[in-house]
Amino acid sequence: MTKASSLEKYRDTLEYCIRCGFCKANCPSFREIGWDSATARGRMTFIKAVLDGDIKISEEAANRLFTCTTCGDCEQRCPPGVKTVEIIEAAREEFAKRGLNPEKHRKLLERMNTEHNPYGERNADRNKFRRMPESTDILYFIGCTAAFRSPDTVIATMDILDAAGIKYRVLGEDEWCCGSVLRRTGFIEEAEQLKEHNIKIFKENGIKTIITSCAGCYRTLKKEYHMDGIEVLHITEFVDRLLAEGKLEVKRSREKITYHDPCHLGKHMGVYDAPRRVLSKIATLVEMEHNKEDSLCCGAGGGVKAAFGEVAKKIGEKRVEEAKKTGAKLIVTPCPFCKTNLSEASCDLPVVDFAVYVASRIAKETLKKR
Amino acid sequence: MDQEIIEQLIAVVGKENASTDPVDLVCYSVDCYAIRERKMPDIVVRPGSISEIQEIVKIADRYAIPIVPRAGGSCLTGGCVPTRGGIIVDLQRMNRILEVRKEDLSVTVEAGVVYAQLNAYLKKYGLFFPPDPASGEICTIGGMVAANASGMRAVKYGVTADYVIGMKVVLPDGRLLKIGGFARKTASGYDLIHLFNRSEGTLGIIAEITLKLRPLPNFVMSAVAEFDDPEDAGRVVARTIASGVIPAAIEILDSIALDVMREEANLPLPRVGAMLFLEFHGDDKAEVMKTYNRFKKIALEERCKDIKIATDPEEMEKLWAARKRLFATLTRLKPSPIATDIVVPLSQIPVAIKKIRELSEKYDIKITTYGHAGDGNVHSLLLADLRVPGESERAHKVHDEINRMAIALGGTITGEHGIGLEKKSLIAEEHGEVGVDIMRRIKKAIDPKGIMNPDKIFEV
Repeated sequence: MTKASSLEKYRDTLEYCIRCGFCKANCPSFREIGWDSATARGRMTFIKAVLDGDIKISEEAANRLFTCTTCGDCEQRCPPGVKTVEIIEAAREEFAKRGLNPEKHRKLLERMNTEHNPYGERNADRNKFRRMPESTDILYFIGCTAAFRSPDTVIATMDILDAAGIKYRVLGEDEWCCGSVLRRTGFIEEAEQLKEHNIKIFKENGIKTIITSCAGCYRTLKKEYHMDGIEVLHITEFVDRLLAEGKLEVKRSREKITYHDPCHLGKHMGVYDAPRRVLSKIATLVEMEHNKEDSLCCGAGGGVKAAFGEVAKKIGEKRVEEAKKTGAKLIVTPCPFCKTNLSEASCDLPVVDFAVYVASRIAKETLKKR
Repeated sequence: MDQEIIEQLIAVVGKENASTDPVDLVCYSVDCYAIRERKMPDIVVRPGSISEIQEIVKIADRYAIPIVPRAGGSCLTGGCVPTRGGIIVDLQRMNRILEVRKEDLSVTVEAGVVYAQLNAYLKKYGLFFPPDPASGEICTIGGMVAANASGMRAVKYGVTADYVIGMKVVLPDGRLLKIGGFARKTASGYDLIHLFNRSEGTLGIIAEITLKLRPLPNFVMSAVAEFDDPEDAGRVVARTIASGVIPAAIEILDSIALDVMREEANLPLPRVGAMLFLEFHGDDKAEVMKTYNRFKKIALEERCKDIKIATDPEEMEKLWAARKRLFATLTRLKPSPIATDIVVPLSQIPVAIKKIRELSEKYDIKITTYGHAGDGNVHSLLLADLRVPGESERAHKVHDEINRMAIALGGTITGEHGIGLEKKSLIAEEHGEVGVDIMRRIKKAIDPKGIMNPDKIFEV
């Protein structure tokens, strides 16, 4: 591989992977695929071998590289502290430049280029949610999956904000994809273009606070947009704050529910307690065997659902099995993408979006006050 | 390897369980040992049954092709990497727990069952398999038997070999050898179980294992003790065990190890010369406190600065988890560390610690010392960067000197990691030429073509 490779800067870091294998313990793709090349240590080993010119980039290597959900479980376990996800994403960029990425990812990019969302839906359709009140610096960034695949999440989030008397803007077609899926699949330059557009619009609108109802958008905006003076909050954090401040009241029920931690909210951003505090106030929350830092990935992330649907589904099925063992009546998760994948993997256990669940439990008293 | 042979192997395991793609071959050409010259296998196969292993081995026997058995791949000595191409037999698909006999306190498993998964499964029966290697989350029972692995609880409960009562081994000619059963002891014939224990894949492929188990302890308590000088800590360990006080674990950690755990794992550890982490198992609190108090008395007599019982179980769990990851965490200091695994007689622990410190200064290699001191297993990690000129050579000299010291003190060069590629140049110094000659004869009798994991333990 040439010195110009974006992987070159990781040469030193890669030396620190001593292949101890602690990354294997909970790795969703290894659990499903079974080959050592589908673990983080395997991926580090073959990425280094590619970088050193010991092996050539092959279709099989691409397969192993792009079946990682980038959940980050390996990274948080890695004793030497190797930035495995960052390295995998850098390697994906190299593979993508050479056209050795999954065709479905390339199609996704084509759709993004025309409609600024990965689903290829008319971006102007977001205008049905558009709200542009004066005198507010709060924005609800709705995200592509909620906008085009789970509109109930958008409606529910707006219901919650309305019930709490929050004034906020929704940008409609001026909102472009946050770029998460492009970053995860190796299209970094293209993701940067989306970021530039969105930041420009945020500034034009004088935004100081952004609320997202998607874990992927949250991670991308908060961690990868590097915006000074703009606070990014996930809806779980915002609802937790509203309840603490008494701006929102909820009804409690005895319904037994379990909570699935989206990797982009939990492992990548450390948000574990806020959603649990909220859900504990409205239902009986029971934990799955793997929860919080140990939570199992739903299988959809990192472009795996787009390119390797069967792998994503099988990983999702394992998570649903675990949820069933809790005896819960439903799974609640604050990520429309996790929700979609777990719903498809689940035959009989309903999967409900966090905002939708919370919105259904808003006390009448709160609504009356408004 | 001829395409025809490759086709035959694929026919045994199926296309999805065989790979000749460089991306897989390179991943199976390494384990956790800082190997200098990586050699690729020709093919990796993943059998799902004993009969598939037999078929693979028969093909290898027919064409005299080297075979390297492998599962978790957490070996620290190059024991599960190829040296001359051939076939890697990856046993990770064979991960079924076949039979738990609660009344007999035994379990039968396939070789690819992961240690932590086995104990998680056994919990509901109130049983456990004690040896507790640091790599327990990923290492497999087959690998543990092949290396006679152990870990923190060996001081009270013994090593893997103490628990193996039955085995199914695929021999290098493809025949299946069944040894033992469910009897907890035997005086019948040569001890073949202990022959295959720590054979490191050089005599056959261990496919199925029956283990004795222990009931889970009723009461568990952890404690920590602080010292200015690691030698004092070493003396406490030696005196404690010699006095008949047997904790379930007694781990020694020097200041370098403690610094790394404090900073990288974010643990509230004091800045002291050394610490002991202890775990006590017993029927009830009274029994455990009696053991603890006897230990405490010895510790205070040996200049222990502070000693306390862990009151926060969560905090203690974090400490133990960090201890298990310590070897790999220390890599943050230097990327190609060399681990030693010596065991010395208990009375010689302080002597060994002192000598290791002297060698560190003599060769200008930073060394951290830690380990399962309760059974004399003093690990040290020689912090080296193979990319720095001369550092690797100096580190290897220290490595050899530490091992020679262990032999001179009446100990051994490996307590639980095995010989693999890493220590084979020293095996004759420990066992003598006669000892190695007998090993070679055994190897030739069982594996006349020398196909099973060649170049490991000793030169044939």
